[in-house]
Amino acid sequence: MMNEQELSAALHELTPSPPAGLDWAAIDRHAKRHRRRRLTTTAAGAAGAVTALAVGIAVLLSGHGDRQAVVTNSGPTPTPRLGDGRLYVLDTTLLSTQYQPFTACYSILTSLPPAGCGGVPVTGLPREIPTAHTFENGTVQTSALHLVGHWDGHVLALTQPPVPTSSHTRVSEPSCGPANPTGAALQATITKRSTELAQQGVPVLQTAPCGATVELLTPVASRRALDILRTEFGAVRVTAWLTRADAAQRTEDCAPPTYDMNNISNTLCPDGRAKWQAYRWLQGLSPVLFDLDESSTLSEVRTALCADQRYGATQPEELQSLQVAAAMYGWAFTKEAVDRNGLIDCR
Amino acid sequence: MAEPVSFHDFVALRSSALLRSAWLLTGDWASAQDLVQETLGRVWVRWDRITRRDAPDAYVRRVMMTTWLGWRRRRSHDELPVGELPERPLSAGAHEISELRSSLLPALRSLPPRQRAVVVLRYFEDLTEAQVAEALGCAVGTVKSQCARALAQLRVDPRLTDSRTHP
Repeated sequence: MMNEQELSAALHELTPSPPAGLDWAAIDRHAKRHRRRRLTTTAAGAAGAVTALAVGIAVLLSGHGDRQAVVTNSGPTPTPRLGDGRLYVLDTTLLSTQYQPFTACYSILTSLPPAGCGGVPVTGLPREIPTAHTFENGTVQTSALHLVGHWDGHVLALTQPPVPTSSHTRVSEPSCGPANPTGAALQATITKRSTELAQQGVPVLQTAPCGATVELLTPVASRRALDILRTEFGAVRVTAWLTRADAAQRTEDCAPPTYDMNNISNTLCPDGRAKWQAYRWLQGLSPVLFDLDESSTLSEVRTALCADQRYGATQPEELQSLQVAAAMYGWAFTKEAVDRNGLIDCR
Repeated sequence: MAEPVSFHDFVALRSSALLRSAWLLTGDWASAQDLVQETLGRVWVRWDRITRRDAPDAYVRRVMMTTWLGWRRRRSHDELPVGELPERPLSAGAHEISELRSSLLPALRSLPPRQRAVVVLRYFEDLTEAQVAEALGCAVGTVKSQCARALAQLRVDPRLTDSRTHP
């Protein structure tokens, strides 16, 4: 029988030490939202105070002093919470400067010490960060670390301590062909609107010309991100930087697939497992299909294939996605998912 | 009257404790951090007024409980069934309490939200019944009855019974 004293003792014993650091950007966002509610009734000013909060409390970052800090969102729009509950993995370098909180770097300015990097902010870092090197000016840089955490559209919140790794997460770079004027204009438009996209939880890490359209890299190619991007910019090609933890386990980095202009082939390893790079290339094209799992039925797969086609995936792309997803999830009904001509029939 | 505590100082002093309570309520660190962050975001905008009181801690705790119970009512923050890897505990060397954790936490999560809140406030934060009542915005009698029901359910929970019979 559990008495009150035993319960109290058990609860205290049960509760682990919390991970270091809160996400101050999220506090900032919540504060903004509630301030906006209050302003509607009080018509009071002080509009810049919330941003001042984020700057001011930078010094309070638990764990590692003033580093794991602040992403100030000075825009007026409340930023949405976009977490999907999934775990993502990423192998990359962390960098923090006087002006930049700890960031998982996609590309680093190569001065020494580095002046900054492009990537995604990281929270939940431990007090001691492996391989961290502090330069004279206070900039901190690590070697490649294996990061695991949740992505909420704005920060990667780690769920376990980072560990050193020998690799960096690579992004496949298929050839899209040279840019034409339409693609170049679109690329410029996307660049201009990158701040707005980031506020919507879709930061753009890189753009590249891709014929009449643009290939862009975003942390997570979620259905919501694709909805926003394709509604705004048409049939852009989207690739993701973070990899779903389960997908990393279900694929193999055996050899690169074959890229041929806008198509991909040779997507399976000799042992029949899906190639990791093929998955990474295709996930942005077939988000609905890759959102399925081992228990999905033939009917669900057919529905997903057609949904992805409505997102803009072509027949060849969707057929390659079907092959990769079937290898990842062990589906035995790939032949039944297409018609007798080997095509996806969405009529 | 005591010197008003700054928001900075309050967060530095209390965020860890708030996170622990939030973890017991929500069951995972990501949601716990969300809960604490939303709570802090809510209280910051009225911090001047809060610190005119003697006990900002009690106010913040009440906001956190209200926020969490609101989440539960809206069901927008419910646990999502996902096929991915479960989160791993951050602390190493915790094997000796893993059995307790694996049994008590699910038992705690099986309690209705308000009962779970009462248990966390009463037996983890060691508040009096009156303080729990203030945090939850209810009568002391309600706290007593919710507490009694929660304890009764935990006492017959087979997960706890089993884990205690297998040392």
